[in-house]
Amino acid sequence: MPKKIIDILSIDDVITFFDKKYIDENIYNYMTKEVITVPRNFSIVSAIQKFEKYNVGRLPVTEFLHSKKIVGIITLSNILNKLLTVTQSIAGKIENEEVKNTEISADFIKNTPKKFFKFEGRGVYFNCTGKVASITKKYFKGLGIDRGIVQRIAIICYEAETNICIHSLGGTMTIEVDDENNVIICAIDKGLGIPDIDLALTPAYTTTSEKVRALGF
Amino acid sequence: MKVSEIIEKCQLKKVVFATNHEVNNGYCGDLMSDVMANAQPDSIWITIQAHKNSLAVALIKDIKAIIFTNNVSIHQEVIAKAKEERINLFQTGKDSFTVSGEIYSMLEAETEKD
Repeated sequence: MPKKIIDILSIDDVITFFDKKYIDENIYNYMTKEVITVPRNFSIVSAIQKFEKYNVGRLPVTEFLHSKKIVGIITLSNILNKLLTVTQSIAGKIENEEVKNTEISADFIKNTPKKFFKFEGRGVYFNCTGKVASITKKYFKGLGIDRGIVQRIAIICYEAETNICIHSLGGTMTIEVDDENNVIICAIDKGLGIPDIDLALTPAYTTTSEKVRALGF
Repeated sequence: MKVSEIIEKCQLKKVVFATNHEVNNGYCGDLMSDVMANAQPDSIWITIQAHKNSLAVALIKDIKAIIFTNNVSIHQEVIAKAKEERINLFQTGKDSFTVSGEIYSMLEAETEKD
């Protein structure tokens, strides 16, 4: 059964007793008489406002406005804890997303001012070739420039990216637009080296593995 | 020609059917860089390469439909990605030559009508 609220005795009040040596006195005299409460149907925001306005550490929660019946109590740390839990779960989700996009973050492009954008793909893996190219394409398409130019940019990115994925030990790619609107695509990888240059110059010679060639590369 | 018309006439199995778009062109090829260099945008692509890299090529080339021939198996991952990117995927037991021929005749007939 909800109990009616009369007064409130806080830790602060108790400390004051000890401080002023009122230990033997009747607590009734030192209790907070005008209790600040919050109705249970009010928002968390209004509770926070009350915490600030009246500088209290806790708020008894009443059944409804002007009611004196207590149904619970809420403290700032209750709210903070809840907020932290929520933030944590959001952060967890974001983290998962980030793990998925370790190579390139599409958001990075979204948040970068339009003309100068730059991103890097580190350790691009074979199963996601085309990722840099698709992201780059989406970006340039969004700028509303000629479809043919967007295609060329995407194809160049794709070829460079595929080479990094298939023929190197990993690498990075940077795509940027300079002051004069030139699109600069830079692909740097860690190569395996060429043991026999003459052999490498033979027409149709390839070091690509059978498995990779079967996939159409 | 609507892609739905091609599905019906070639008796293709719908694996992912995201949009019933217009098809005016086609390309047949299994080498990624060849498709990348020569396929026209908005084409229907006929291939046996049923893996994620094909989707990347389709995305870059604005290819909205792929037909996987010879009944090649399609990985769940590819299907999920195609749904996400709204790329149509179809499957058939016919080989690439046969399907290409069928679609070519259909598109030719369409052009003659115009």
